[in-house]
Parts: sequence; structure tokens; C-alpha cells
Amino acid sequence: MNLGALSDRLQDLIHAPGVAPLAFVFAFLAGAGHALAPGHGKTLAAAYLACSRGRIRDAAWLGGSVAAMHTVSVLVIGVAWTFFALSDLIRMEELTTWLQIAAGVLVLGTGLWMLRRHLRGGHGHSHPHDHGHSHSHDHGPSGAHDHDHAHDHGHPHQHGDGKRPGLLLLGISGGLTPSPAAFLVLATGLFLGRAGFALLLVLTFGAGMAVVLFGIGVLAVAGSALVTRNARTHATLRLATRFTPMLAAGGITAFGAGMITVAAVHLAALA
Amino acid sequence: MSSMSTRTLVALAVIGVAAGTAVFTPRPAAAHPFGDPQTVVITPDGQRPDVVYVKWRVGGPDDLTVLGVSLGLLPADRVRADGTVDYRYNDPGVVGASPAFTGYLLDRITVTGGGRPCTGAVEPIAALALKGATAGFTCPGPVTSVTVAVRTLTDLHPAYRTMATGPGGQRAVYEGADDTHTWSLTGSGAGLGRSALVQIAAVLGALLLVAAAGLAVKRRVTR
Repeated sequence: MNLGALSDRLQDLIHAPGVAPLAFVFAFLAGAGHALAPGHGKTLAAAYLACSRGRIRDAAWLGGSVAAMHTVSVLVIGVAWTFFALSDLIRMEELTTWLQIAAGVLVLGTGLWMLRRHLRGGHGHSHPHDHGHSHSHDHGPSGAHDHDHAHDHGHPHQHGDGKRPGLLLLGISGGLTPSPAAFLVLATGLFLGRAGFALLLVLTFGAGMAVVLFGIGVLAVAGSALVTRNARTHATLRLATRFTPMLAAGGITAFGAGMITVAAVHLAALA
Repeated sequence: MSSMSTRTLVALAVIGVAAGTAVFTPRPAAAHPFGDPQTVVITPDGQRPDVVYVKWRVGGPDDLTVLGVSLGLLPADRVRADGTVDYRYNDPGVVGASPAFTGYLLDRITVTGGGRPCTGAVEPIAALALKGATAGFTCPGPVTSVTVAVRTLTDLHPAYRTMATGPGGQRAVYEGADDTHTWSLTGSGAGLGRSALVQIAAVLGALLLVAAAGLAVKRRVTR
């Protein structure tokens, strides 16, 4: 409740004299509060991580990509709005609704891709391997270029192959629509000649979002690990773990379709 | 063990319910005044050195509906108890056609030139939500700088902001406590765009450096 109100007061921070440390604390909390508010794909992320046997690192990728995308989107829209008369070309509300449609398309695409992956040979043989690998494989290909995610899914696809593209897509869709509060902070900063400070606040806001989403991801990973561990000894659970990915993929697909529908209805009302 | 399968079912049910609510609950509209900011553009008249134009444009269309309700032009039930606004496509037309609105605009936007107030008149309004409303202010004599006060919508909620643009790339933000600004009409306030570019580049550059340093450290640790 208070976190939401904090998000609303975010635009006042830009007036903090100098580069006030307290402003960053507030921006962080506001970002965390914003991520807790409905509509940031938390359910999606949890479903995805749970069904794809995600690891903690995947949760970090998810939170990071939401934060990065959100900052990029606030920066691009804020600069275009301030210096390139974006408001003359398109109304902000229309633009954000279009971005919601784009986000929905990304989610729908991820859902369909997951469904396809599970329907075509993702099942059966893959499950027995699933809990054997734990973390060991991480160090194999990573050694020299652990940081380079582009290479990461090039190695043999025995388990979580193609986990990250889906995660990144969900993350991007989660950060595509800028928070109005973060947008106002940047626009105000640009108008007042404090662009750098404003951008730092927006980055901090994104970090707050990332931490909350990471936390939710970790909970999902822990929850799914618990279920998977028990699945080894329990037939019903084994059956459940077999169908959970399908259910989650179906849920993500339905969610994407729902997002597109809601945004399209909203867009029609705006026109 | 059976408690474990119950847990799975509970987890699935939670995911299902959460996805369902997320899909079927309409997203709340951008909460104003924290949505798109209202804007003001200050332009001198090319021919008459004693005239200044102020173009005001609302941020979101629901702001106009809220304003219309507060001016008594629209039924009060358009703003619901939970703060959401039921705005209709013809609301801007109703508000824009009313003398109550032009009176409000001239009351809330004032211009002084050379220490003396300028007389304002709102030009005919077409497509208020899209194009906004322009008021021409005639000052007692030729002016090279004017002081413009903007207090629109802050009477409805103190958190409203106005992003203002003037000649030569000058920019200012009007808000509750800071509602007056002096503009040079000869247009000498440029450089804000360049300053913004430098600042943004500096922040992004620093961020890249931090990321690169972090990676270098990580590589050293894992080696």
C-alpha cells in the first residue's frame, strides 16, 4: 500500500539537492513496490521457472532483463517525448497500449514455443536427467566465458536448452511498458537539466523491480525443486511433474492471448 | 507423501487462479495525475512584439473528464468512488465548448510582461484532447521576456505537473509550489538537449565500465 504511494511520489525525488543518497533508497523501494503491483508477469515468470526446472541463475536473468528493458524503454520514450515531440505524434496512452500488445505477443510467442517444445520430444527421456545435473554442468562450458549468454545454449541440449531465450522474452515483455512514475521522473529530469540524476533514479527503480522479481523467481525455483525431488519416489507426483510443464505452457499462452485482447479492447476504446 | 501431491495441486491451483485473474481483470487505467503530464508551449507572435501565445494541452483524456466534472460540466458520477474515471469520447468537446473552461484557463494561466499583467483571450477550440487550447496574451507594450504562471489541474490534485517548452529550446517544469517561470522570448536557452545527451552518455558509460569491471573480477575469481 505504502510502496504504491511511494511510486506516486517518485517525481518529487528529482528535486533532491545534489545527488541525494536517500532519493536512491526511495527510488529502489518505489521500484520494488511497482513490481509487486499487478501486471508484471510475476505469475508468468513463476510458472515458467517452475515448469522449466529453472535455476537461481535463471531467476536472476529474468529480474535483470525486466530491469534492463524497463530502463531502456523509459529512456527511449522519455527522450523522444521531450526532444522529438513524441506527444505530437502519438498519445502516451496509445503508445503504452501498443507496447502492451507487443508484450502480449512476446508472451504468446513464448507460450506457443514452450508448448511446441513439450509436444515435440521434450517429454519422456528428458525427465530422468532432470535432477541429476544440478549445477555441475554450469562450470563446463562457462569457465572462460561464463558471462557470454549467447554461447550458453550452444552446448549439448540435454536439459534446460533454450531456457534463456524464453526467459529473456518474458523479461523483455515485463519491462516493455514503462511505469508512469519512472517516465515522469525522467521527463522532469530532462526538463530541469538533471538528466543524469533522473536516469540514475530510473536505473535504481529498475533495480528495485529486478530484486522483487528475482525473489519471486527464487521462490518458484525452490518450490519446483521440492516437487521434483519428491517426484522420484512418488508416482502421482511424477505424473504431475510431467503435466505441469504443459499446463504452465498452456497458461502462459492463454495469458499472452489475454494480454493482447485486453490491450486491443483498450485501444479500441481510445480510438 | 500425499501431502506432497496436495502441495502440487495447490501450486497448480494458485498458478491457475493467478493467471485467470491477471487475464480477466482489466488493467486499471494509468493513475492520473501520475500518467502523462500536461504540457504548455510558449511562443511569441512573429509580427506583434506585444503578443505571446500559450498553448495548453492535457496529458490524458481522463484529466479533461475530471476537470469537466469539477467545473460542473459533466455528471459527478463519471469519477467513481475508487478514483477511476469513466471518460467518454465526447467529453473533450463538452469541456472545450464551455465558457466555464475558457474562464478556468485564463484564471489558471497568467502572463505578465514588464511587471504588468497581459490580457488573455482563448482562441476557438477544436479537438481539445488532441490539439489543446491556445490563449493569446496581449501585453501593455512590446516584451522581450514574460513571466508565465501555470496552475492548471493542481487545484484538482497537487501532484499534477506541467512540462513547459519555450522559444529556443527553453524548458521548465511547473508544479504546485513552483508555478511561475520567466521566459526569454528572444530564444536563448538552448543547450539543454546537449546537456541531457552528455549526462545520459556519462551515466550509461559509467554503467558499462562497472559492468566490465564486474565481469573482469568474476572471471578472475572463477579462474
